[in-house]
Amino acid sequence: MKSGKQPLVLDSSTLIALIKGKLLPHPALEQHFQWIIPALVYEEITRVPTPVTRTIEQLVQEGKVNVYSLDEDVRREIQAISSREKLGVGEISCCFVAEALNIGFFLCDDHKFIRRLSKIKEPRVANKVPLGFAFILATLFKMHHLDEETLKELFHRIVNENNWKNSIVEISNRRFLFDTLGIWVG
Amino acid sequence: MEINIDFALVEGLVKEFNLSPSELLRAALTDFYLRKSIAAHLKPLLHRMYAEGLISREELLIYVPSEDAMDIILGDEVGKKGAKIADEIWKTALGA
Repeated sequence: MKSGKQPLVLDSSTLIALIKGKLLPHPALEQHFQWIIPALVYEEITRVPTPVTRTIEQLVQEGKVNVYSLDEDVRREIQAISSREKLGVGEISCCFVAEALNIGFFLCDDHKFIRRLSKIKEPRVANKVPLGFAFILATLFKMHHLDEETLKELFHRIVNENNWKNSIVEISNRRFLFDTLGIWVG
Repeated sequence: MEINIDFALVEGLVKEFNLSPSELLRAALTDFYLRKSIAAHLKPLLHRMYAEGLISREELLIYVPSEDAMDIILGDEVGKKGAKIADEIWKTALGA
């Protein structure tokens, strides 16, 4: 899975939000980043067929999104951590894939995970930083593919389409944009 | 009920009425509660005030329903944490 590109491990929450927001696939991002989803996330998403899941299946078939498989014993460990920490297997498997790829972050907009983050004891999960969909917006802004107005418009559209208005997900992504770009999306 | 809050207006009110941000926050919340509204309408403003250091974690926990306060505190923390590592990622991926 080595391509010289920065791997981005995605949880279902961010993956679906980016697809709905028409930011994935994106030719400018594909030049620099490699989209990766853990097999457990892929299996979870594609269980119920919807237009979004069909798009994900197509992206995987086209090789635009890579599915990362984990051994059976690792899967069992993920299940055990999920019950112990009361977290979804998707987010935990993202942390394990990020660990395997030697990266300290993954993309996640799951409100339950963000809320529980400060209470997580498992070090392989607690030491990973979740970045939200705003990381992609900020990246496109930095690459001059978005202006400030479009960035704000997309932010609101993604928040509304995913029912994240006034949620912890909106708050974390808003703070991220404020600190990285100095833009406050109110 | 849809309310748009203008942060510049809030700053103006703080100056004009010589209120501290926490007094303004208290007044706003009391008004909202009296109207049987919910604090969710104030969340973006509260978050901005918290991010700018105009109100403290303690004030949020006192004056705002706990779930809303925790969303602001924890969400803000996660956003800040992400921002700290984003530059490194951009340097590696984009060379900028």
